[in-house]
Amino acid sequence: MDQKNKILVKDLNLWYGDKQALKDNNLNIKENRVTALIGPSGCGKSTFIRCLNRMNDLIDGVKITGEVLLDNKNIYDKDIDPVALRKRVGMVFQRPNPFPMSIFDNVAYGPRIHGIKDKTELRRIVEESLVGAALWGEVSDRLNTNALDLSGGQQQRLCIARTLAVKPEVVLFDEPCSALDPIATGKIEDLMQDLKKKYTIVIVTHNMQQAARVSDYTGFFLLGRLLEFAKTRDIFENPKKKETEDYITGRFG
Amino acid sequence: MNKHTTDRLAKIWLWMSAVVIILILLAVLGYIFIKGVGALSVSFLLDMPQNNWREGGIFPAILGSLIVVVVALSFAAPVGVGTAIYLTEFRKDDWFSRVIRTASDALNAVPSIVFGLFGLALFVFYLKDYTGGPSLLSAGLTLGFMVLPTIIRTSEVAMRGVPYAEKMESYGMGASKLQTIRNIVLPGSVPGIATGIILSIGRAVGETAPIIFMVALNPTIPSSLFGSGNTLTTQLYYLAMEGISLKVAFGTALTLVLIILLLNHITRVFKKRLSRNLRRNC
Repeated sequence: MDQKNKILVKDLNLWYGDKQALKDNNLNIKENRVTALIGPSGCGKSTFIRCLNRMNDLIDGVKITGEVLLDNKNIYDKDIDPVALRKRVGMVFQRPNPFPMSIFDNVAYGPRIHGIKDKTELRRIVEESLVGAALWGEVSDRLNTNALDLSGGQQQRLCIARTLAVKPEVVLFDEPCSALDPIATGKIEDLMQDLKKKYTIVIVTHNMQQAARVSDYTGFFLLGRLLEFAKTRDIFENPKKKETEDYITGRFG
Repeated sequence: MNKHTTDRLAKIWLWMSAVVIILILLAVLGYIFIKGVGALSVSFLLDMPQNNWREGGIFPAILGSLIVVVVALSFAAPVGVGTAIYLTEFRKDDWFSRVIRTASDALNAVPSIVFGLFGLALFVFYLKDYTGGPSLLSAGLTLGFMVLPTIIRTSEVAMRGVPYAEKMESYGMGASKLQTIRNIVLPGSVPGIATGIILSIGRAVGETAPIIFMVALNPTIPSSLFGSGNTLTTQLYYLAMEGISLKVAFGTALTLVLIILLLNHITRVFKKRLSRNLRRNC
């Protein structure tokens, strides 16, 4: 059954200064599916994902052309507030970066900045988000301890909980497991299968096995271009382009 | 001379240089202590001067020093921290931010007596109707100008120490710039900002030249910010210069030195806490 398009990317170009990092990219991201973006380092996949919640706006000298339609509305339109957009399109970064505060305050950070003050409501959101990130069982008895005392894998799940607490519609993962060990990675991959029931997920990874395991759709980036995009199984079993095949069979990358 | 000998001579010379520092410090502190400790007592700190400072205490000067420091920081802390936020969060490293930094560094290099002359011209003469002329307010504002660069610089360094990733995470959750500054940047840089403020307090308490034209000897409790008063430094200057009472001058000097040593100690404690905070990034 075909899913509704959540995000439509049309002719997206991006320059850092005069260096073009993304070239004419077109892509559909389906609702409640996991879309993986793979490709060698420096191919533009992380840059691409940061276009989807306008994080690139925060970098000096970035110029973007083209459209990114979220529910058919271009997020680069003048009347779109990037701050409000990032509430709808959340992001989990490459390295876990908990704030130097308690576990509770970390998760409550987002709801608080969006104006929720009621203590019971905050408590409810924090629990719900930690459950959603499969961390509740490990930390429910020490919510007031410093988040920096958690292990790397727990910190990354805390960052996921923190993102979920804002109640986004789309969650972007920018190489979320690159700093984690295999067990922690496995937990996060399992988690994604749960998360896609409620959220639309886009994950950047340079671990091809990970893309194969977690995603429904896969896009292969090379030198700033989305070279091939298809159902994950098709990409891995029957790639259309030679470069894709070379990459996934490990001939370069 | 062979290598071995030159090596040893160099070592002796370096060792002696290091020892000289300790000796000078001990000489200054020891001298002040020996000469001043006889005058020092609780009543010396809390009593009014009697008989033209020859007896009684130095309470008005302590109060005056406190007042000018509070005035200086009421001006310099918000302006300095504000400038630092502007430089780190609102401005790329462009010509304008370089102008601000250069201005701040130049301000730091202005000799303190020149600040005094400027304060005299601006606050005492030109703004007389607002400052009360040679008042504690004029003195405090002049000191505020003087310590501004310190606060800007230390705050900026502290704010740049807040991890970029933490700010990105905050923006990624839909926080606005101000929310990110208030919840991430400022809490992360509090130890550094506090260090700058304490350093500034030490400097403001210890300076004489910038305020010598505004506060003279005054044996009474200051009536208001717009009134005259004196501070520990100016009192020390006049008591010694006019030969009024060397004993009280040394007592004042010792009080001043103890206050500044205490502030230095507090600064060190804050610095330690700062480095502990920065460790979290590793």
